[in-house]
Amino acid sequence: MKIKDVKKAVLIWGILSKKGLDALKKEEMGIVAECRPYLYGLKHNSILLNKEKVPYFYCTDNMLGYLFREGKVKRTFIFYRGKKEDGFISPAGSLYVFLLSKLHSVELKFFEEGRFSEGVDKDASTFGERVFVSREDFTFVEQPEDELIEYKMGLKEA
Amino acid sequence: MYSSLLLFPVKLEGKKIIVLDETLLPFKEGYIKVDSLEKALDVLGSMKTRAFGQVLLFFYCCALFDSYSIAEITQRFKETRPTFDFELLAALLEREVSGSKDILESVNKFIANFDFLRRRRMSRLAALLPNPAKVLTICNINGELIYLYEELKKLSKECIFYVSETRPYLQGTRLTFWELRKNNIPAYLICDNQAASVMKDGKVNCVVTGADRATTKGDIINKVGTYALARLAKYFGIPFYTLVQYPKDIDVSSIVIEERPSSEVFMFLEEGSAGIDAVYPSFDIVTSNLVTKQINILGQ
Repeated sequence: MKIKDVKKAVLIWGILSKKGLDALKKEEMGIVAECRPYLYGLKHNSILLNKEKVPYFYCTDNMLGYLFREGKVKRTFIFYRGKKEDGFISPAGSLYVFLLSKLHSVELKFFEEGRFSEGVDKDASTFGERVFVSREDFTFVEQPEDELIEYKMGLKEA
Repeated sequence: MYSSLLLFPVKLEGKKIIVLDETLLPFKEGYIKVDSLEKALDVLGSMKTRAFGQVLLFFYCCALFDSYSIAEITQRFKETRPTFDFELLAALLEREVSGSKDILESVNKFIANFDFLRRRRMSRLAALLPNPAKVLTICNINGELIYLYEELKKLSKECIFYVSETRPYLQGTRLTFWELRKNNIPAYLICDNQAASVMKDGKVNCVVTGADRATTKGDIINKVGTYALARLAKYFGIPFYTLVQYPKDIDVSSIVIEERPSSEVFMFLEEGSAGIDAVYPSFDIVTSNLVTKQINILGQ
């Protein structure tokens, strides 16, 4: 798929839930980002959208800046894990997506995350069984943690 | 002594060009023999070499395959990788050749001088960075971060690198993180989407990237993912430095952004990707308002 053929679409970040899916069905198209290292995009969201026949296109996380800059992101859905008094707890990369959305004046919507039963790879140095970093360098991999999106950063519950 | 295979990923042996297959790293150190222009274009198009490797490949093709003019080789390279400025390389080569008439001699002279220039460029950058320098980087700058580390050490500055993995080809993981760790240089690997988090937590205090293209106004084109880093760095008040070659007085938006096949997005994944349509813009535009300082190869 070429960028010129891509319509403005809704970016999905985190584990898509039933409520999020219902909201997405009202939209024209979704953007499934990879969501490293867990690969929620590939292992959960794309499967769900295929099953429900919701149109989408896939991209890696580092392509999101390009899509924001080109005005291809209409809205962002972030699926959070929990709430704290100072903000939302969401999977790794949520802050990246949240800030890119804010900086490009893209509307954000938050949903509680869906259920994901399959075991996920939470190691930043691997893709499943494929290991990219030598054993002695494992300690130099910054393993991702859940991130806090704070109200003071402009977070508003939609 | 620090070193990296990526400082000179393409070499000349007799009448053959020897190309380090960067797609095999870090699992295997493999080389491809290039004895024709068609083979060179195949190597280029399939990303076996890139960045400084494609510069060397271009120059050696011009020196060896004399049944083609420099203009013809430039055109073929440009058709294969449309974003990179092979016309600029051709102009540099033509200028060198006009003095000596011997292309190979000119190429060798240019390459030797280029290595001196890129080391000097790193010396200038090292002077600008804070102590400790906590550097976030993306993709791969062909061993130049090793030069940066050496220059920082000369200034008694501490340094740690945070390397963004750079999906889908993982040049950050497979090349940059690998070459830094091979030299026991402190470096952490992060997923691309962790950039905001490490900036917010103060783990990095500057961003350093290469550039495939640059304008005299300070705009650059670099690996996809660079724009997000620049935008986030600006938000967090972190300086963003770009290492460029020979900036041109052009409009950055006029440069074609290469889009690669959908299938390559999934190339390093274990999971099946049947029926998934993906986009793959290879490069980002970063405009000068997001760049703290552009350091060109002449050290300016």
